[in-house]
Amino acid sequence: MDAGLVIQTSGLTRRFGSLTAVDRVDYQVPAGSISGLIGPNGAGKTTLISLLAGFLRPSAGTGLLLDRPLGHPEVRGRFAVLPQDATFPPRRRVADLLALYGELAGLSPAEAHAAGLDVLAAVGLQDKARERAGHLSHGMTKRLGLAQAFLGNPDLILLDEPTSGLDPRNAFEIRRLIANLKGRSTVIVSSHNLAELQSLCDHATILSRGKIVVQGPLEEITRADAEIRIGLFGEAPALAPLQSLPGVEQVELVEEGQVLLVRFSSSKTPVELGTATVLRHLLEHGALVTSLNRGRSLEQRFLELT
Amino acid sequence: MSKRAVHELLVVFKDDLRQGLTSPLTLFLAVSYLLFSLLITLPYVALSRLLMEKLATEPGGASAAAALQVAGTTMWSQAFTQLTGSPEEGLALASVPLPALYTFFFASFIVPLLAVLLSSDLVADDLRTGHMRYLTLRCGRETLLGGRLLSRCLLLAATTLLGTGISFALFAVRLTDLSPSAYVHFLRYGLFLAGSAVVYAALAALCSTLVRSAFFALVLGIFLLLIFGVVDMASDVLGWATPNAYKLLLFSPNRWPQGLAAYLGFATLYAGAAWLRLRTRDL
Repeated sequence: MDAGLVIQTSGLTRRFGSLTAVDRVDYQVPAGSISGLIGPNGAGKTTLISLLAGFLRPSAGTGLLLDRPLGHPEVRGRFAVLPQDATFPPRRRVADLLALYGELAGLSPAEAHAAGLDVLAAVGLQDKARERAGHLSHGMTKRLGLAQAFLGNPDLILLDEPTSGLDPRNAFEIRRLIANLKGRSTVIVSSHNLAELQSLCDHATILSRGKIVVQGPLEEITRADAEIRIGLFGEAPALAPLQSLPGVEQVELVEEGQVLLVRFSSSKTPVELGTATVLRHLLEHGALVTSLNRGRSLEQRFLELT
Repeated sequence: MSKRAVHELLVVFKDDLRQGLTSPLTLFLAVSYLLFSLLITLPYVALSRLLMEKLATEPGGASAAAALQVAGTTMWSQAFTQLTGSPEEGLALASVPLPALYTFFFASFIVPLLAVLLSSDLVADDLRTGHMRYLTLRCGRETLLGGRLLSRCLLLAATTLLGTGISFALFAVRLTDLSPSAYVHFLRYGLFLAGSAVVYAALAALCSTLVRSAFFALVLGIFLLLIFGVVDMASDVLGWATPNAYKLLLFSPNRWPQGLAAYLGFATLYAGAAWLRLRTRDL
C-alpha cells in the first residue's frame, strides 16, 4: 500500500447477476482527507462503500483498508460506517445500543456507556439517551447513525448520503459535525449535494456506471489550482495584454463575453499571485468586475465528466 | 479462537440473553411451555389418583393393583417390542417409569416448535433492517451468530429443564408409587429435551441466515419441521436424514448414547451450515 493512503483498491468489481455495479475500480483515498464520493444514481457509490466496509464480497479485485485486506478482522473497530438505509432495532434504547457497540469495539461496560453519552452529546442527542430507537424522528435517527460512526474515534469514517432526506437545519448541523472531523479522522462522504461536498471536501472521486471517471485533490478536479473566472459588466477588455501577463497561459471570453476565463501555467506562478496580477490589470484599465471564482464548480465538472 | 473473538462472543451472548429475558415474546413462549408441561401432567396425575383411590377402597384392591402393575408392564413391554423391533429394547423401555416416558413423549413434540419460535429471529431481522451492518463493523459474523445461538440455547435449556422439573414435581408430590429410578429418568429426559432444543435452535439459526425476515425464517423453520415429520413417517431410509428418526434412541435406557451422538451431529451440521451461510452472504 502506498504510504499516506488509507484505502487502495485494485480492480475491485462487484456484479449482481448481469449488472456490474462496481467495475474494476482502482480507488485511492489519502489519509487525513475529507473525500467526496460523487456519482449519479446507480453509479455504484453505495456498492463501493459496502465493499470497503465488508458488507458485500467483491466479485473480483482486491483492496486494502487501513493497511489490511478488505474484511480483515484487525480493522474492526478502527473504521466506522453510516450506511445509507440501515435502521436500529426499534425496541432498543439509544444509550444501550451505543454501549453495546462500544463494548464490542473493546471498551469496558463503563467506558462504553460514557463514550456513548459523549457521542450523543456531540450530535445533540444527549436528552434522547433513554429513548427507544424506534421513537426517534428521521433526522434524529440519522444523527444517531453519525453518533455510532463517531464512537471510539475511528481512523476512517465512511458516510453514505449523511444528509439525504434531512431538513436544511439538520443537514447544516451534520455538515458542521463532519467538518469538525478534519484532522482527526479520514472521512469519505457520498452525496448528491455537490455544493455540500465542495464546501466539505479536499479530495474527491467521481463515479459513473461503476467506473471511476476522475479522482484526486478537489482543487485539481475543479481546476481551482489553474484557472479563474472573472465576471464582467460592460465592455470586454482587450485580451492580448492579459495574455502577456506573467504566468498567464490562456485567456478567453466565455458565456457571451460576460465571463473572462484565465488559465495559468501553475508550474510557473501560484494561482493567487496570477489572480492578483490579472485583477490589478483589469481594474487599472477600467474593467467592471462583478465576480471572481477559482476554478469551476464541482457541479460543472461533474456534468462535464459524466 | 482469539482473545478478541472470545470478548465479542461474551458481549453478544450477554446482550442477547438480556434482550431475551426482557422480551415479551420470549417470556410468553417460556411461560406457555411451562403451562404446557403442567397441562400434560395434570390429566395423568388425576387419572392415576382416581384409579389408586378406587383400588384402595375396593375389597382386594391391593392385590388388584399389583396385578394391574404386572399386566401393565407386560403390555408396555409388548408394545415397545413392537415399536422397536427388539424384545430386549421393549423390556428396557418398559422398565422406565411411565410418567417419565409420558412427559418426554409429549414434550419431544413441542420442544422443536418452541426452539424454532424462539430462535428464528436470530439474525434475520437484523439482516432486514440493516442493523447487522452496525454490528459487524465491530464484531465478527461468526461470533455474532455463536453468541446469540448460545444465548438462545441457554434460554431453551432452562425452559425445558424447568418444564420437566414441574412435571416431575407434580408426579412426585401427587403419586405415592413413583419409583426411585424415576428421579434419574426424569433428569436424563430433561437433559435430552434440552439437547434436542439445541438441535432445533441450530436449525432455526440456519433458517434465519437464509432469509431477510424473522417471519419468513419462522415459516421456513416450521415447514422443515413438518417435512421432517412426514419424511420420518413415510420413509425408513430418508427418515434417517432427519433428527426425528433418532428420537426413539433417546428414549431407550440402553441406546441413548447413539441418539445423543446423532443429535450432536445434527446440531453441528445445522450450526455449521448457518455459520457458512452468514459468513459468505451479503449483508
